Amino acid sequence: MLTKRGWDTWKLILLFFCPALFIWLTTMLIPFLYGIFISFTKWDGISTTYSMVGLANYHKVFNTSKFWLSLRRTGIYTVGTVVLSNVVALILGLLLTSNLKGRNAFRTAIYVPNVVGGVAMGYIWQYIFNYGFTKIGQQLNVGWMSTSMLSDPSRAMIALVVVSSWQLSAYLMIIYVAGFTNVPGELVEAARVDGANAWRVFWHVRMPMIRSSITICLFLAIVRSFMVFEINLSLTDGGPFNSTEMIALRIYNTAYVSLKFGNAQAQAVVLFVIVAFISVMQAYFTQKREVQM
Amino acid sequence: MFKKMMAMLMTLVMLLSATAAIAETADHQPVTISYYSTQAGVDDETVATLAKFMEQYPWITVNYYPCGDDQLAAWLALYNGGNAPTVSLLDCGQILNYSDYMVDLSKVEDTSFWSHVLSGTEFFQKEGSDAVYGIPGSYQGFSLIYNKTIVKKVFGEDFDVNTVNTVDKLVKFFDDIEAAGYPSTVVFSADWALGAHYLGCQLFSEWLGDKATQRQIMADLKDGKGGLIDNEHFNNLMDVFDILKAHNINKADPLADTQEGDLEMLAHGKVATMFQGDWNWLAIRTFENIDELGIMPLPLTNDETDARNGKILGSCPKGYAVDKFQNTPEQQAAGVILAQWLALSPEGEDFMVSLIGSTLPFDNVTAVNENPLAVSTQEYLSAGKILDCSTYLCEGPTDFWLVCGPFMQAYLAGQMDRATLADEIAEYFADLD
Repeated sequence: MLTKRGWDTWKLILLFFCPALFIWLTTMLIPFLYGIFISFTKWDGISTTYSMVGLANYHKVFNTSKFWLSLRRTGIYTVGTVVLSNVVALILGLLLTSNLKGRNAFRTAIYVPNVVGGVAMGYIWQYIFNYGFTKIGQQLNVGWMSTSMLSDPSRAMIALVVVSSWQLSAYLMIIYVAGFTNVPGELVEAARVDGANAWRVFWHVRMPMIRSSITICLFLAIVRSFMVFEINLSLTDGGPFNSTEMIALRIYNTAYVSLKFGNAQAQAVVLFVIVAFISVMQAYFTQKREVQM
Repeated sequence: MFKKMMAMLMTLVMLLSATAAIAETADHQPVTISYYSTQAGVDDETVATLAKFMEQYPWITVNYYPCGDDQLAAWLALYNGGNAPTVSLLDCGQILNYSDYMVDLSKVEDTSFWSHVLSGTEFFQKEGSDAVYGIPGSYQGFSLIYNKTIVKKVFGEDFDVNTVNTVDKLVKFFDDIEAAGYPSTVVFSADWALGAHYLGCQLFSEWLGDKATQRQIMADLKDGKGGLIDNEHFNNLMDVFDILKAHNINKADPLADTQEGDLEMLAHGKVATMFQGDWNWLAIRTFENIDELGIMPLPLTNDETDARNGKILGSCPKGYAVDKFQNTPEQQAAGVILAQWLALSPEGEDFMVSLIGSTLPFDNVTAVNENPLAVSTQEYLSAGKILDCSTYLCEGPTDFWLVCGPFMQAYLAGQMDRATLADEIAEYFADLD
């Protein structure tokens, strides 16, 4: 039997908990479960009746080489983007927590790409790659620069990684700035007094102290990269000849162009399992290396 | 005295008009319907047009749902949210894919409006059925868009592009243009343009023969029976593509173009031709100092007597469909009135012709079209020089362009040979459910 005080506490908990629970259920859990259900059906996107097909959609997904090709491509893109965006963000975070003049202005300016939407960003860069760089290349007579990066399969992938990293590093930079700002000054001072040079201070003092930031940044970068859609759509649209079609774009096209909603959902479920596994593994192993103060 | 009489007369007229309107409204129950349009970028004009409709039909209130970039996704979201639009302007393929949810417009109460529709109903009919699920929203022609200014300079004022009616003559046409110092053509490399317009619409079109023949080839491909590499029409199509490829102004970097960039070159006389359609006028008209433009046929054989070499491709890409799945019978009836009005009223026609620049396949069109490409389409349509590609657009797989467009890109970039292209297309069909 609850006492009045206990009941008041529960009311307070429910007051704060229920709205969030309701939003989470209606926007996350129920659509997620509905998506899993759709993956076992053949559905036209409108009908209120579903014809159950069992594991047929999963069978089709696992036996479609283009799905695995797209997943492999996404893996390559993810490795490139996670590494490049984190390295750039780390360097920017370090620079912008040093005694750099006008660092607040730099922080704002560098963060801007993250405010620009992915679609707009893709179109801007498409123009730069197709007309900007090629014009410069032709003027300077630089062969590789005279043709668009977006028209060559391997260079288009590099272009996609560069643009994504450029945008993502702006976001990650803020987390690294917060991490570096929280490194106690006396630790750095003590290391310097002990004769450590700048590199040793960075590697042996600052880096261990920002491992929680690294955990978060790696997690965010992995998830965002696996789910990349907007930049993929607007910058390359999967081209040239499907060489940059990432898995999210493939899922979208399967649903809304091929009108195979069950198959698209099955692909999405497989992607979810893969991303969840990688993310949990990454968080587990990097958290183990975090320094607790 | 005269002024007083005039004032009284005016008041009387207004009262009579108002009474008439009230009487007309009183005959009908007020009904609220909705309209979803995939005609992007003209939302204000669409709202203004719908306001005119509501003035004429005061008992019908129309809510407008504009489309975003994800036209089909947004439309499906409305259905899933229980807000299915009463009238939708959709691609013909989508209307037929979802025809189970649409009103058969050939069996509505008043079918007299069909007498004004000259062509295009076949784009909204399923094989073996008389039901019609959409009223044509426009007619679009596509083939080789050419810069008339360049052609006149090179060949003289009186040159008739219809004399370019064989593949050899096409090659000479391009060579002569280049000899005069103008690049002869640009190949627009988007996957949808190459996959749907160049390959799909031409491969499975009247070039192959009648509809039964076109259907048979698709069926054979699905059954894994027919290879394309030995198909004469496929080879003719690709031979001409090779010619376009060889003369492409972008051949050094064929996949680095954009639609806007290609059209600007064409409109400003930096290139003489481009394989595309009259719908590009919406983009072209935004440029300044546009040259004279027109559409000419793309010959695929070397037989001068082959009438197909003198025709352009035509389609009714979009139509007005009325939902019967989530709308009440009253809403459906009002929706049919709106769909007819949008297609065939002077206001609806003015919207499609004057603003969008579309050709309309109706016999009552009075609006003047400023789109020179649509004027070309109209000429070929009136002369019966249209190659039908409705089999591909209405019955072909919806993702043909998505899968086969990239193969065409690879072919354009020299990364794939013809035999592999033919195999990939055959494999795509064989893999269909």
